Formats: sequence, structure tokens, C-alpha cells
Amino acid sequence: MSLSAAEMEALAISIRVALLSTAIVAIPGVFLGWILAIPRWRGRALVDALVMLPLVLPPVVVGWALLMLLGGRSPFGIDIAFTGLAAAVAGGVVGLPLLIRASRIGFESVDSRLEEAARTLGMKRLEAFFKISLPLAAPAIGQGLILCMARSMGEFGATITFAGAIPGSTRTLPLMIHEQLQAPGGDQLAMRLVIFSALISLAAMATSEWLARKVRSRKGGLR
Amino acid sequence: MNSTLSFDLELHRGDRSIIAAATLDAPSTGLLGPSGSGKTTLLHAIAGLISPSRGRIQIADEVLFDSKTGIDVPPEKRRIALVFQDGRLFPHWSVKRNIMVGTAAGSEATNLADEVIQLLELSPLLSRMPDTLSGGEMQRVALARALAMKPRWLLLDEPLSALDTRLKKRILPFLIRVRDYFKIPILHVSHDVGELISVSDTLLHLTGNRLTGPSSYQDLLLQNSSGEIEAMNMLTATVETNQQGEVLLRCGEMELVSTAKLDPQCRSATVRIAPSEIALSTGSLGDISIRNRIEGKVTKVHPWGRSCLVEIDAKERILAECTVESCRELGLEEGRMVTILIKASAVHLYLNG
Repeated sequence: MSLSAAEMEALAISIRVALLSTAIVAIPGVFLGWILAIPRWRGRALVDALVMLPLVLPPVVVGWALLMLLGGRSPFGIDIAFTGLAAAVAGGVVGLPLLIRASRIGFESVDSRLEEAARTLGMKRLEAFFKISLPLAAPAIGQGLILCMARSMGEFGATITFAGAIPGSTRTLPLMIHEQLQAPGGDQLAMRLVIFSALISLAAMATSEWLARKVRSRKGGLR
Repeated sequence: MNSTLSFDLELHRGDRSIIAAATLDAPSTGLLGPSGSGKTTLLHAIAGLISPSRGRIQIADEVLFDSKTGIDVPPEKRRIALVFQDGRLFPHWSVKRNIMVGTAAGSEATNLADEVIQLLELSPLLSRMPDTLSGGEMQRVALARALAMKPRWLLLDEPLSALDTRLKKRILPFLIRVRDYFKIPILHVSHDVGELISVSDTLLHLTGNRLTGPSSYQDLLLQNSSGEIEAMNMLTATVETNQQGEVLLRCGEMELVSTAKLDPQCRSATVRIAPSEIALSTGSLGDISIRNRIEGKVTKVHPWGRSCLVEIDAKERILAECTVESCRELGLEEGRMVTILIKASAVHLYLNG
């Protein structure tokens, strides 16, 4: 089952886009997860709802919003529409809620009193975060990163709206499958890519599940 | 080095407030109080984890908190170690790394850590992860971690409360060792009077949102006639013989028999007898199974909740609890001669140091 040059190219673009989009949202995603794990502050519910929007909005709406914000009529004067970067941003934005949710659960499972203990032992607040809370939340964050990457790899609606399906630049696997399905008799052709996509997704879910198990086995304190 | 800890502060927790002022310069001070009285809150304020709403905290001349001048030294700069009730070891680090977390660089700090590890007998545990430790081991590691940072004060927040009696008896000597060897002043919180007075000579009492003391246990006990503080006789004893399930002890000029289990190697112990387990007699006894019969003279009778606490001079000072009625029937008053009766099974033994 060998892939044609164009299919290989789509696969390579998909991987590149997924990695880049995860890299773009990694820090803001973990940061937002950490913020949302802090109990009881004003506006938490609103922020929570806002960051979850890309998960429930139709991707095509997300794509349109990105086009408005970062396209030709961008209020910030940044126009990246229909570039490889646009595909990464589109994938990142739809994957972000998954990363935030997982990180948040990770930070919530860390006993915040461990940071107190760290402070009395001479660690500054930031040092306690990086040495205690972050490593303890790391498996959950890793799980979030994988889910985010898998989600952005499968992104279709936002990508086609904001980045198009330019061969060699923004035509990822799902866009290629869509294209193949449009051609007469293309479903035979598309089947191979569909299997490919399914395998990649399964591998991602398996890795994520493995990390989840690690989270559960890592507990502290007297119990 | 002067390390007198003094504070005068007002703390708010939820809708309650605590007013506490004291100057502590004893090698070890106990903080006694019913649960929910704010003992932990007070320790957290001293360690810098929460800020008082008003007041001042200082060690010698160094101000750690002052609401007037706005000084609030962060916990990491106070060098006050806090051992938590639940250990709070860092679960992703080995025992060794947990112990070393607060140590400074340099050979002096490493030597201190080695001493701590030896004293608390932790060498065999160093490479273990916290989730493989027993409760008693965890608390020993938590104690070592606190000591290795070379703190100016050691705050213990019910460090033994999560442990059962058998383990408590095994950890207590380590606390006494720490107190005598490192000479770091200790503020020790507990609701267990016996645990506190094994380690501390002076006590604070936090109740009804107010702090009293520091004063000696006896004074605190007898001033507080509500019976809220648990009464306890504590004596230091040397072991004379230890065989056939009976330990013969000498406390000054007084002899006691105990059926408690004691390591045959052990030459000295702390004796604990609850006043409620002591009976008094003023007449002839005849045949009686009680092994400890000690002559003494009543020095004072204190009202004690719904009963009386009778203070007796029997070479050592002994407190016995009697109902008001038996006090009247026996005519217990100052100067009256009595026989103190203690079953051998009521004489509880704790190891020293």
C-alpha cells in the first residue's frame, strides 16, 4: 500500500501543521489550564466558556472568525490567510480547548498544599510552580498535547475556510481525502488515506490513554 | 544565638478571629487546643503562608510581619520549617531529593543533611519513592526535610496525629532526639497532652479564640478548672528490673510496677498515668490485687469540671481524679494522708530519646 507523491506530500503537511499548531498553543494552553485550575475567582466561568467555544462552534465558523481577525481585513494588520501558518493556527485553535481541559485536570489533581510546603522549604512561588506543580501535572499536560495534535491533524472546516487547500502548502490529509472523494470513483482512492488517518488517530489515543494511567498512579501525601 | 519568637496578632479565618500574643524562648513549646481552635492557622501565620489582619511577628530583632509598616517577609525567606500533619512529601521525588530540597549548596549543608539522616535512621530509605513509605516513615522524612534546611524555628503541626499509638511511641523518641541534638527551638501543636508534655516543658493554650501561656503544664492545667485540658501524670523513671511481663521502675524515691511492654535494653522511660485511673484510700486496705500502693499527703484539692483533681505529695507530685462525693466521704483536704492505688496496667511507658 504505497502512497503517491501528492499523498505523501499531504501527509508531510499534516504532520508539519499538527506539530506547528501544537507548538503555537502549548504555552497559552497550559497557562490557561493552570489559571482555570485556581479555585474561585471572578470571571472564571466566563473564561472557561470562552476557551471552550472552538470545541462546540462549527469549525467553519472558527475559520471565518480567524479570517476576519488574521485575514486581509485584519484589525491588527496581520494577514496570514491561505498560508501554511494559517493551517497551523486553524488547527491549533480547534485543538486548544482539549489541551486546556487536560492541563486543568492535571493541575487540579496536584495537591496545592504541596506548593505551600515548597514555599516553607525556601522555594519562590515561580520555582515551586516549575519544580512541583508542573512536573506533577506533566502527564496530564502530555495527554492534552497529544489530543490537541490529533485534533489539529484532523481539522477540516476551519482549515479550508482560513487556509484553503493549496497543494504543497495547506492541503492536509483530510483536505486531500475530501478532494479525492469529489472525483468520480475516488472513494477507492480515498480509502487508503482514510485507513492511514485512522491508524494515526488510534496511535494518538493509545499514547494519551497510557499517559492518563500514569496520572492516576501518581499520587502523594498520606493516604 | 537569640532566637526568641514573639508575636502579637489578630487572625481571621472565615468569620472567626483569633487573638494571640506570646513570647517564646524555651527550647520547646507545646501548643494545645481543641480541634478547630485555629492552631494550624496560627502556625501558618508564623510560617508566612497566611497574613494576619493585624499585628507583628518577629524572631529576636528581625521583624517578619508588621501590619503597621507593611513588612511581610515571604515564607521562603523566613527560614521557619513547618512539618505538616500529612507529611506533604513531593511524590515525584525520592526520599533523598525530598530531604535535600531546602538545603543550601556547600559541604556544611551536606554534613547537616547526613547528620539528620543518621539521627532519624533514614539511610535505608533514601532511594525509595514517597508512595512506598509507611505513615511513620513519611513523617520521619518530613521531619528530616524540615531539619536539613537548617531552620531557625521548627513548627510541628500534629506530626503524629495520623499515626496509631504504636507508631507514635516509636516516633516520639525521634522528636526528643531532635530537640536535644539540634537545639532548634520547637513549637509543637497537638491535641494529645501526653505527646506534648513528652517533648515540651512549656505550653500555650488556644481556646475560645484566645491564646494563654506560655506556662508549665501543671499551672496551665490547674488554672483551667473547666476540665478542658486533659489531665496527665508524667514522671521520668529508671528501669530497675524488666522481666516476666513486669517492669519495676523508680521515679525518684517512688517505686512503680508496670505491665507495659518495654524493650529489655531500655534503661529509662517516661511514665504516664491518667488521673482518672488512680484510686485513693484513707483506711486499711486488706487484701487487694492492685500492685502499686503509695503513701502520700494531700496538698490541695482542685475543682475539675464535674469532679475534683486531688494533688498529692508522694515524694513525687501525683494528680488523682475523684468525684466530688468521694472527696467529701473520704474527707479529702489539705494534710490528709492517703494511699494512692494504681493498677500496674494503668502505668503506661514511653521511651526516652
